[in-house]
Amino acid sequence: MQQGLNIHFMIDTFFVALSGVPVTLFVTAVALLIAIPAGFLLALSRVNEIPVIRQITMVYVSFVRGTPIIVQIFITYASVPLILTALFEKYGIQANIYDIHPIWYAFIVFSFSTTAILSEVFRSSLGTVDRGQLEAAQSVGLTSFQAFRRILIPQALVSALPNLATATVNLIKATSLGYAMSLQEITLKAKVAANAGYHYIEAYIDIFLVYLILCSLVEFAFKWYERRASRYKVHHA
Amino acid sequence: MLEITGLRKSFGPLEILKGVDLEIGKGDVVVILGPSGSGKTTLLRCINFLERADEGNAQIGGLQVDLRSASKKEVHSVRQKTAFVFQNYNLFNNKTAIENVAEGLITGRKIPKKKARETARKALDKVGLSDKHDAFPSQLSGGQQQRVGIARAVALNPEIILFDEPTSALDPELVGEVLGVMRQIAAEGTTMLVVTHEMQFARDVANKVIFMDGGVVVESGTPDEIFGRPKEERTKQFLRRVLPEEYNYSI
Repeated sequence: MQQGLNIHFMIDTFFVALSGVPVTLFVTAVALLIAIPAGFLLALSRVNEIPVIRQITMVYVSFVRGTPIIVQIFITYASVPLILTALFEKYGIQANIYDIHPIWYAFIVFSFSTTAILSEVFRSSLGTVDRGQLEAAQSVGLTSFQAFRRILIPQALVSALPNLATATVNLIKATSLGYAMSLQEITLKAKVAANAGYHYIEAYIDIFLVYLILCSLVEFAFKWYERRASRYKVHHA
Repeated sequence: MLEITGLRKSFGPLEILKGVDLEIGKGDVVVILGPSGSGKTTLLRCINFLERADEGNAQIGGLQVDLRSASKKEVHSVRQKTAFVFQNYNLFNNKTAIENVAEGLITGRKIPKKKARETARKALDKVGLSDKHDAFPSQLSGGQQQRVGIARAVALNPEIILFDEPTSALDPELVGEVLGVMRQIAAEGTTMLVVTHEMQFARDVANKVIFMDGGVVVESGTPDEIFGRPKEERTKQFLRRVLPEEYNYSI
């Protein structure tokens, strides 16, 4: 067994881990693109107390929050092929389930869980906007839809930004669990490289650094945008 | 111009308005006085459908509506004919002063942006804020915010402006500037329905004063009649409480 860290291996593997970043970011971006509008609609259904949808949302949110993502991955990865096989047989579609790229499962799992998280984020942020803003908008002749679009949502988004940043960073980190369904992202790539020479510590430090850099950049971007978006909150001298 | 009949409104078991009738002519400045909890604010909010009345009819600028069951479209057209000035201003926090004033014109009334901003600019100049067009509400004092609120209402050129205690949330030294603007637009012939505790304003500017208590109109008349020769005992009691001693002597 070798003594100390194999720096050479570590540097090489760092770039291997880095090559997983596009997949990680792609899954994160797709999950967010689906979860932001979907989560917002669910939040509206809860804020406006729309029957049935509201109850379903509540059950859905507690279901997602009450189960580890890794379990959600196992269930999706095991059950979706079964469901698809049944559907394909019923409609006579000729397709091999096992040709489906694991990234599609990643899209499903991470959109599903992020939607639930964001519906809570948006629900609390909509609550921070004073009711008088809606009344004022209506009193100058805006419809409720226009009031939401022009006045309430822009303000709610600003107060949602810190939580949105946390959710995004959590999502990036959660995609590391994608290795469980052989998704070629940061963690899996580095682990495979580590297996070759038993340099686990080096690979883990690489993974650690890549996530740290990635998440810091995302956090920094959110901070910058938050400052920009909350310009109207400047205080009276 | 504005006519309200048989307006009733309860919140749960608590009956706030017990059948209110009201008539306002074009160019009238009507002030509603009354102790807190007498239903003044609720009355105003029901007219603009910020609250749904349990019963009652309104005729606003030729439009007849049922205050309980008006359709979305009717509500919208009533709001197009009225404007509301709020106690706590309720300016759009994410918009500058000029955007606040122009918003209703551009989004609500579909007036071209350029023309709307021109109207907004004139309205802000009128309330003495020609140097604050691009300030956000958080950069303005309470008095300035309320003046933007008034400009926002004036710019819509509504048939009537409803004022809900427009100076109650202000520091005492800022009350004057807001009342000054209100006097000015009253002098220009704007029809106004004002809920306020500013007795001097009611005396000087109103041509009709309504005294409400316990969800009904107790007495109404000219300022001279209400302040000088109140008929009802409840009105007399209220005025004794709110007016400084000297007024009682000078009358």
